[in-house]
Amino acid sequence: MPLNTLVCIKQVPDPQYSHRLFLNVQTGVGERGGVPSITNPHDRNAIEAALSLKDTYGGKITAITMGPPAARRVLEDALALGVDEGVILCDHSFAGSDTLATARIIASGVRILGGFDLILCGEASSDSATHQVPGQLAVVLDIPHVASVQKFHFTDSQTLLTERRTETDILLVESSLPVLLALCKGINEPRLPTVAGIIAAAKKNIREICATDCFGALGEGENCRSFSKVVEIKEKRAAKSAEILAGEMRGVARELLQRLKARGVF
Amino acid sequence: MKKALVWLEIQQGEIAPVAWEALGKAREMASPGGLQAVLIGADSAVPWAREAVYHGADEVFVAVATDLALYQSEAYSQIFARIAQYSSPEVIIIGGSMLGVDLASSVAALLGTGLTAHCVELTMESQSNGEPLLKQTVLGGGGNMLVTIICPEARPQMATIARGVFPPAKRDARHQGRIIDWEVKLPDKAWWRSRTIGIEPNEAGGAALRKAEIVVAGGFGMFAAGGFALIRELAEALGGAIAGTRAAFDQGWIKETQMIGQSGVTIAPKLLIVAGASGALHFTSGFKGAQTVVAIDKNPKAPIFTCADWGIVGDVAQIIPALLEEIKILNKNPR
Repeated sequence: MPLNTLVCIKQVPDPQYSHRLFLNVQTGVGERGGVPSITNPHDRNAIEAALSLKDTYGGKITAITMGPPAARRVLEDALALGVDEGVILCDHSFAGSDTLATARIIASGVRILGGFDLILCGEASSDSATHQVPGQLAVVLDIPHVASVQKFHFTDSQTLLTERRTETDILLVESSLPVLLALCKGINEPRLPTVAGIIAAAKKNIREICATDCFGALGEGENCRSFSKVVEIKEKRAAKSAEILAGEMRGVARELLQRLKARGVF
Repeated sequence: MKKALVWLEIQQGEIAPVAWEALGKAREMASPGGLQAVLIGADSAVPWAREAVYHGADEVFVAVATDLALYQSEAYSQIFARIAQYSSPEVIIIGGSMLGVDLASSVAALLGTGLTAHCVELTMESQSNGEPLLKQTVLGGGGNMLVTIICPEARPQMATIARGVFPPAKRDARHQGRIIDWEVKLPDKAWWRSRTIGIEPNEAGGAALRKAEIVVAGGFGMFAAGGFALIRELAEALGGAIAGTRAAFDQGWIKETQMIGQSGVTIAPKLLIVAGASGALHFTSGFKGAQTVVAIDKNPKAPIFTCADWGIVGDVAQIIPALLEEIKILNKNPR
């Protein structure tokens, strides 16, 4: 049963360099200060999941991203891995969108592209980490979704069984297609591109969708404006400063234990 | 009257800790008489309505059906959204657990309003026109900044709260409130396009760690001390649980269930001892609720010392054995 799958991906600053990031207090937008960009780690798992499904069932994979022109890079990387087509939602007016605006913009893209059997997302991005966009995208598209998915498989051509993680339990969820899954990080081992894949990618298509395209595909009463906005950014001041116990090791240890005892800790 | 609406999530048969925290915080946002809670589940959920009132809720909407025993993403969010449309609260505060974030995201999309994730501070302010505005503060910019967000026009104003940051609602059995039976109209089985059909305990969820009163955690700094043996010894001597940072997990010293932090377990023990961890935000955010924190690190400028009550600067390989010796002495002469 060939599947028509969409993978939503995002270009993010490499989390390894997060200490070099700062927010511009005037604009409320993140400044990357020379930090390199990568595909959001969770999204690499989503791409791999789509590729695995295609290996088994055949079909087509489209990758979509919302971002500035530089974000084409994550689509190119996805195409080199075996994704068939890339789509970039790119417009000045999309910058600084909150999660619902993002969901609506991506939803417009999905409607323009004609709909899918399965939509795969990483459950969160490493930069904003709200965990909100996948679920909101599903609601805007009026399809069901399952978040925090750590495992899934088809029980028949139209039905998926997923394991959905919570802090305390694993929920078993049965869904019929079309459905959106937000995947936990690390649920698979993302493959690396092959030389053949990189060469083939050059012939694949990246489609651009801008704001005016989106306006024609919005739901009733919808617009792409953000409801939330940043009004203040300030440096996080340390809540407290530890009292440092100094001196000879055993004496310090004794002092600490006495203090803990006094606090009733043991 | 300013109303604040809260979801009372049920986790393993009890109200989830973060839900009590949300109720406590929402009390500050609501006018007297305006704190409302929503309970969704099967018959077993009903007794919690009275508990919600004892914890300060002025009104509790109880939406019960056999099919709602387990969390159902679409059904729960649609029920919650309908209650919100009926009640028109000024704000909706939901605990930032995994299910809470899922429900809040769906509800915000259904209601067409903004939602701020994992708030570490929430304050209600009066605007010049007298209208209440919720100031929603989150950690951002790589974790070094406090970012304040508002939803100036759309209503209700929605936020999820980070776990373990706000104190839980206090219980007072004298508090009175209304319990409202909310009629549930579920679509027929043919519509249930996505349905939770079963549940298993999540061994990897870190529940054991979350219950521990004493926790000893280690970070990459334990490498120079030969690994986690000293952490294990200290934990055993204190009768506590072992935990660590992502680096400790990557080294193979701990399991994922023992990893504290933003993508790991959140803990709030009586005592947390952290050794050899510099104190990166994605780690320290996992123990904001810890009552007493002791940090041990060789770098006096390590950020961990801004998250601790007491600190010892030096080599963990010497400090922990010293502690172990003193604990032995204390155990022999408990005075």
